[in-house]
Amino acid sequence: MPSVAQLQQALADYMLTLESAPVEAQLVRCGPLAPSKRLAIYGDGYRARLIDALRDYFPLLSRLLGDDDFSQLALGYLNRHPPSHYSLRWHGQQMADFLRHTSPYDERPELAALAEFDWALAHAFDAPDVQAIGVAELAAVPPERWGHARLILHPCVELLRLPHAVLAFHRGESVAALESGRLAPEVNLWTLIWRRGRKARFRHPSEAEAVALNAIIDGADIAGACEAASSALLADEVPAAVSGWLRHWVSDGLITRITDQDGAATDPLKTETNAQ
Amino acid sequence: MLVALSRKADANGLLDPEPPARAASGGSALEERRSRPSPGDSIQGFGLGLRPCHYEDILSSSPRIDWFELLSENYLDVGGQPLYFLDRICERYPVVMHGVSMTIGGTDPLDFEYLQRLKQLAERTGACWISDHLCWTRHCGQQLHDLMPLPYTEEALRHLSKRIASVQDYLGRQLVLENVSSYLEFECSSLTEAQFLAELSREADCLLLLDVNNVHVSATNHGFEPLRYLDELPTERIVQIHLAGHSDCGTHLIDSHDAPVVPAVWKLYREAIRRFGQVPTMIERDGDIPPLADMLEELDQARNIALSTASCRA
Repeated sequence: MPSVAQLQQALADYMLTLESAPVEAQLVRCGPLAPSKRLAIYGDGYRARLIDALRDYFPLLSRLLGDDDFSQLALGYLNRHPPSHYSLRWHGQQMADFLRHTSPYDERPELAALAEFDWALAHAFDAPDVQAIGVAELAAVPPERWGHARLILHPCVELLRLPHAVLAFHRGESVAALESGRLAPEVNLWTLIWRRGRKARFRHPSEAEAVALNAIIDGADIAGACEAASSALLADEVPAAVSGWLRHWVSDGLITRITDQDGAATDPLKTETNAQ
Repeated sequence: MLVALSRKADANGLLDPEPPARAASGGSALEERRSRPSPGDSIQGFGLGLRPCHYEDILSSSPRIDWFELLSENYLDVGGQPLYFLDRICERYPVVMHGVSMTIGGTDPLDFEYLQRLKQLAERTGACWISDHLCWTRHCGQQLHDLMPLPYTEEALRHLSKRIASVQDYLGRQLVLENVSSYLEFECSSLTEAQFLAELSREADCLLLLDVNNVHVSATNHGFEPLRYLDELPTERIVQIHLAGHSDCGTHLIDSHDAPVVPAVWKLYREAIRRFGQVPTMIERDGDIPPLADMLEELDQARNIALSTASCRA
């Protein structure tokens, strides 16, 4: 008699390969439905369920490609990346990367851009809740400590560089692109995506703000962010610009912590402020 | 049941264009909570599966629903709107948790990270029960996202008993296990599903969630007698009942949860109440979900059947 583990191995193999012979021999034959048909209910359901889940998380990509092409893409993705997380929520995590590196999708960079945008919006919508700091906490940082201060961003924050056409498509303006199934890559725009309240939001920061924010995302302190911004601004414009962005980021709830150590769990600036 | 994790309803109004005015940031942490039931506290009456498309209606109309069942996986790794609404609904209604990923019948090691998150969610929501399915969903690290059938053998009985004991120890409460709809059976099974559930619940000291639609679907697909199935179940272990709709494919039924409960399932539900008494009952709907008012009407049907049958029984 086969063990529980052997039966599960045989059935799991079938689910991934659709090769039914090994497990068919273990099944009861009963009624009008042959064992192969019974197995197909599971095998087909597995694929349909995962394709539907991807369609939910990539609404723009799915709209551009249409049902059939999206299903074909999703099936290719599923074969390359069978799910390993217990939640369907995370199954599409590698979709943009898959599109970037898999033929024929790699010939259409707008597809990966759409996937990135879809994923970032979904992430902004349901990323874990973390309390953001307020203006008072920002103001409490002593001026002499600012240069070495590091900002910890809310987990919902994403900064992407997206083709203008992707954003127009999102707004429903690229009807022609929808009809032709193609979006031409054009001018790229920095796009900051985050959540405020319960809604996902996005806006387009300037080149200077985006490079500063990108530096912060990469772990730079405020001095490093200023240096990055100076590539797009005159030197004497940088302090006022950074100061304005900081207030803006705080009021948008993008910052959850200010620290002066590399990713340390402690929050020396806040601790010091609280101790005063 | 289907492994339901739909964001479709949440996606309505998901995105707002950025308005010019900027409000100060603020947390959405729940500050006050109702008095929480303890693990294992009983729920009573008639409930509904909590679905995102009903969030607003539930909060604005406070419908006459005794409790909600939440799909655990929809709230384990997320924040934002899903948790916002969950917190507020838990302030007003008792809830139970229903999961699809415990893989209690699997042969991969138990996922204690998953169980930890489940435990945290139960603490957050004050869930009376935590339920999952008599099935396996993962093998060698691959998630199949379906409720895969088990062989009903002595080996499987011992295997599941041990795992249930570990889970119950970790969660600090009795686990509630649901019978699944199935489309195939293994030659090596020596027990019926109902016998297996009865034996398992006694040996592992766990509780049972009877899905009446699943009994009907499996009985049709495998040609067994559904009343005999009910007769073989241990009355004292059944703490919750599920009702749902299915799809009739001619040669077989699929447990699709996308249609109203059919007359044959209502009839079987009456038989279940006759045998097990007024067990807390709820309706699951995961596809083509109608407005809340329609779900309440369907729930009234369950209420009427249960009350009339129970009074006859008394």
